[in-house]
Amino acid sequence: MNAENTIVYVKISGRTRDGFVDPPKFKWDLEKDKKLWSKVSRFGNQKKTIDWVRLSRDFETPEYFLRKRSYRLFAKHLKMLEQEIETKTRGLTAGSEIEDTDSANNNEEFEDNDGGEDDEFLASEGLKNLRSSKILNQKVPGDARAAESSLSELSNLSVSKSALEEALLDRLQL
Amino acid sequence: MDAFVVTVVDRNVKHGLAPALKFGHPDHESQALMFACNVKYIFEDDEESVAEGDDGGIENVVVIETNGGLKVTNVELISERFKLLEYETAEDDNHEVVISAMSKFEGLGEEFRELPLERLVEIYRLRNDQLESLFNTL
Repeated sequence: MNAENTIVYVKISGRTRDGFVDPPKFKWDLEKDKKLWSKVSRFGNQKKTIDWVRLSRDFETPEYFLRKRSYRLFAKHLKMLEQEIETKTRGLTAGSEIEDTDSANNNEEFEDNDGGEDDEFLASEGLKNLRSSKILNQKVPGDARAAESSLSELSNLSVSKSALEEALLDRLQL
Repeated sequence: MDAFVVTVVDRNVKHGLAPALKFGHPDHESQALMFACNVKYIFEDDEESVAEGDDGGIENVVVIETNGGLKVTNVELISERFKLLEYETAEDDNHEVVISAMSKFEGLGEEFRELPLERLVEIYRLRNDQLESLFNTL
């Protein structure tokens, strides 16, 4: 289907021609489409403007068609890029999510380890402090030293208790 | 008034069998895309002699009907080789009409006889789908 074997009639209801002139018949095919894209896709690199008049002359095609076709090609190209970016972003997001999960797990492990070490350190320090405490030494069961000291202190206490009892009895004159 | 741009996309499975485009052209349908660049306008005040001219080799006729606001209301394709499937106008341009058509089924050619069975089954299924969509337009 091309300009040679196909004709299009556009029937416009409710409008008069008002001087409108039908555009000329022209040939446009895939080869020309490729050439147009190769020219307009370079727009912005070195060329800041597109010389539509020149393109129209070179392609022997009306300017309006070149403009619309270029717009359509750019629009499709942008859509393709958008899809590509979306795919890659999705891939990156999925990758970073996996990394985040891994690092979170690792951190948890590290935290657990750190916590464990800290707890162990604190526990051992605490235990040292507890063991060095005279008060608790007296109350720690099963500790030989503690038992010895507590026995001696108990005996001291019992002596004291006897003295107090004696003093009380004396005071009460019993 | 802006001129209309009419493109026709042939949905025939044969275009999908051709090697993919290698030149980075953004229009993936280019191989099946045809440009109808012989457009005549018929206004209310035109006389009926519009169809006259040197259009001897015409095989396909597309008739696009619009209302006063230039909104496309109907599209008709008269052809022995193509059947209209559907049409649409571009979302951002009422004057750009894209016609989906199906070209006449042809033999796949000798080169396709070498295709693996899975690919042939795939083509068979595609053609069945196309026949079904054609049938639905009747």
